[in-house]
Amino acid sequence: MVALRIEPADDTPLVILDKANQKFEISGKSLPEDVIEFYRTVLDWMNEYVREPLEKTVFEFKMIYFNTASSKLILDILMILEEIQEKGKAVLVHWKSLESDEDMKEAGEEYAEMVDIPFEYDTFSL
Amino acid sequence: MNLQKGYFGLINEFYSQHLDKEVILAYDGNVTHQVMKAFTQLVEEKLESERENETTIRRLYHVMVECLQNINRHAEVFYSDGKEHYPGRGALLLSKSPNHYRVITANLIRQSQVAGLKEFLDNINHLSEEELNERYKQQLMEGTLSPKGGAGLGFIDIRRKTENTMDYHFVSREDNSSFFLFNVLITRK
Repeated sequence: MVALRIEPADDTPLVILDKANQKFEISGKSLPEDVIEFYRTVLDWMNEYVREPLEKTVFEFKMIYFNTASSKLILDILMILEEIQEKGKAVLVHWKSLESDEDMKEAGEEYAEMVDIPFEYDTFSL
Repeated sequence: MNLQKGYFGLINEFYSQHLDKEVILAYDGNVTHQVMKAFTQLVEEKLESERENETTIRRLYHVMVECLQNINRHAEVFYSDGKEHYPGRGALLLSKSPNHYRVITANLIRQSQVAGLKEFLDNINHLSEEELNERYKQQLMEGTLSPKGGAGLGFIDIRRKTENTMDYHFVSREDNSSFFLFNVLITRK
């Protein structure tokens, strides 16, 4: 499966979806002009990945900021991860936030209440 | 209020009842994605240089993004007084006092949308913190994105993050449009 890599911009995050290297990451800022278009590529890749996922998928979120429109699409990604788990494969979400960013940590905790997959929390610095 | 003053005149008249210590940003024009990015970055950098509390900066940044994207998505086009009011046009005023930042926005919506928006905002204003969190999660789970990318979450999240009630006014015009004035405070930590 061909890896997907989207370089970050000032309003869109870095996206790495790489099955061969077992790396799944979204990081940075997300407030795209066309949020549906931006995440379509990501969701398409994930929907393809669901068919033959790894034995264990560790998905890392390292967000600095996301707007409410992006929050909906992030939930869509998490729901695809939930689907993978339902197929009997292991899934883990690494939710990382800046040390000073309590709101971002809480956003992760809220997601964890909405989907039935394990979350681990950590901090990162710039 | 005198409607001949236009978008910014309206904000200015409203603001004169809520004078803060310092006006940081005042704008009247098309609120494009580029304008939104420029203003939010400008304000973020200014506040960082003033060593404002990081949570306060993040929350103000978020309120500005959501407010400006609302205008960008929802401001309607109207023809009146022989002039075209462009979609996406709006006005913004950002001011600062020792205890808070204030964001005021103004844009045109259809009069037919007023009752629904008023009911929505009233409802959110009256929710407790716990109810707000539940409402946010419910909307996130059950809501769908509009073709314009609206998730129906902006005002709910503004209310959650500012911890203040949202103040708003509608000013009817003769052409079936209504000015929507929105006024919210971000408490400084």
